[in-house]
Amino acid sequence: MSARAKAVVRPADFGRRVVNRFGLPNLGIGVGLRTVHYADILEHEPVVDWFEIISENYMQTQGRPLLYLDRIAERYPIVMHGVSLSIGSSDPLDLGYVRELAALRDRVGARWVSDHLCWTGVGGKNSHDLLPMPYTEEALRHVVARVRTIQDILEAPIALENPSTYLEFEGATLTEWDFLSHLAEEANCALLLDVNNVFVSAHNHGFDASRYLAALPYDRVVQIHVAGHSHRGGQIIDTHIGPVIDEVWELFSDAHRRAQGLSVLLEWDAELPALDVVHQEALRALDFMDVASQRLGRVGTVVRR
Amino acid sequence: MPSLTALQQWLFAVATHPDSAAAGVAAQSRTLEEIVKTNAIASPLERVGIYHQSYFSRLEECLADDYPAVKYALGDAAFAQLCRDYATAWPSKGTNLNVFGVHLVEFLEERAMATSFVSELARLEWAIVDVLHSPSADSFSTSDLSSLPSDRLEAVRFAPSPSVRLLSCEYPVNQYFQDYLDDARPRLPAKTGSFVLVARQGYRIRRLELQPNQATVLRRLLSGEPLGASLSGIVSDEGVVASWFRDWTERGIFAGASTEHFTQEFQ
Repeated sequence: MSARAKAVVRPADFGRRVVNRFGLPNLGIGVGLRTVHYADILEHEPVVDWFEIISENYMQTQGRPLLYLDRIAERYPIVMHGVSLSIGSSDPLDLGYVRELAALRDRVGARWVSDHLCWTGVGGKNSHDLLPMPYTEEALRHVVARVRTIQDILEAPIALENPSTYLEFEGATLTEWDFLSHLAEEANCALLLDVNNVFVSAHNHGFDASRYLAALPYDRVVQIHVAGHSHRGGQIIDTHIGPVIDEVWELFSDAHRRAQGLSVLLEWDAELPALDVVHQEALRALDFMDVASQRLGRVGTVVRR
Repeated sequence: MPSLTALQQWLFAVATHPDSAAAGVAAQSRTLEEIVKTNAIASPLERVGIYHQSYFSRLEECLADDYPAVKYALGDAAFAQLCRDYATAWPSKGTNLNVFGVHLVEFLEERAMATSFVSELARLEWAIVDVLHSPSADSFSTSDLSSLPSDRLEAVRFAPSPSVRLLSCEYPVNQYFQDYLDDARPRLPAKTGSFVLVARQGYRIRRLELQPNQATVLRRLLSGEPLGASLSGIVSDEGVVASWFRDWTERGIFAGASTEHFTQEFQ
């Protein structure tokens, strides 16, 4: 690793809260918007701080999904979370896709756009999976350049999420947390910290999750994800099946007390229950925020509708 | 260490190999141990196996969402094999899974194992997906219908709503599909011709079976033929024909009517 790259790694500063440098708002505690909850949301307008959409569910469509989204976006703040940016792919960037992202953001007034530090395909084919990056200098330079291009088109910072991974590459020269920190600094992008993914990858690869959390630049973290997972053989799989286990909530608590103004989002996709059950699980975050606040004597802002 | 491109080509080939991750690894010149780190939690093959399993299960889940009745008709095992074969023949090349299943009807028609019933059923299910994602049109109302120029009715042409599909089938696929939705456990039906109209109006998608003469008129109208020519050779009571038009209009089949030519194409 170069000296320049080393210099951007921030030491852990456990007791100090930082505000995200992009001025992006703390939206409070939200849940992922899922099709089966549309009717409940429109009929009952439950008090949920915000919804995160899967961007692609509302792209390449001019039909019913957009009718629902337009109505929901009139009532709730929306954040866009994509799965097809393929920021790490060696294929050329799909600039048409990025422009379509920007158009959807403008249509629904999404507060920001996020995707994953991963690649989804190569050679013109798409796996629609979040495939792992080799954490190397070559990959870092590649992703930094692409993030800059995307942010130029979006005219806004994009937030990149740490993925769950099930393999590491021989010859990697950086840890994931170092890669993310360098990337965020050099591309001037935001981060979406998924503490369940940290938990999953820490188990699968045998690293210390708290060391990961201590190394991140929290002034760039604008959002945090929590979710459930499943065990398969010796590995843990990020299945987004709820509820969230206490160990992941403890990681959430750790991350939340390092930062300020983090918007919180529960992802629940497998065996999805009613919206109020999902929302109640998301609101458990308040308990773990309170623990952090008691330790630091300061309460983070939670925006309520 | 291989280049980023080489690494990604390696993992993609392994994760998407039609047989297994092990077969995918065996087909590569670089060994698993050259590429994937080993630790005590799982072997390198188990690790790439997670991505392999995830690839096919995700695409099968996507196709099952779009083609639930085809899955029922074929059974779980045959549907899973169909999905694997389809994903191999038609790998996704776009950023959106909404369109991944677009070639399944064509794929089924080319396969010896599929009956024409299954491909017709797939055509109905894709029509439902297609109208779900098609744009809405300004509604053409029954009052608009009554305001058409009575002295030039024969020259009136109707513009189709972009979220309308008309299917001509050799099997009663709509009845089968409805029985499937009703959990009536339908069996493969005998050949009986049928015509199905699939239309979205706002949030609601509706299917309507048409009689042959209704289908003939509507097909002509949706193809841009004027009203007079569309009704040519149709033997039916005038009041009955009027009721067809009221029904179609209420269902949002038409986006407009004019004595001029419409430029849009009916799909």
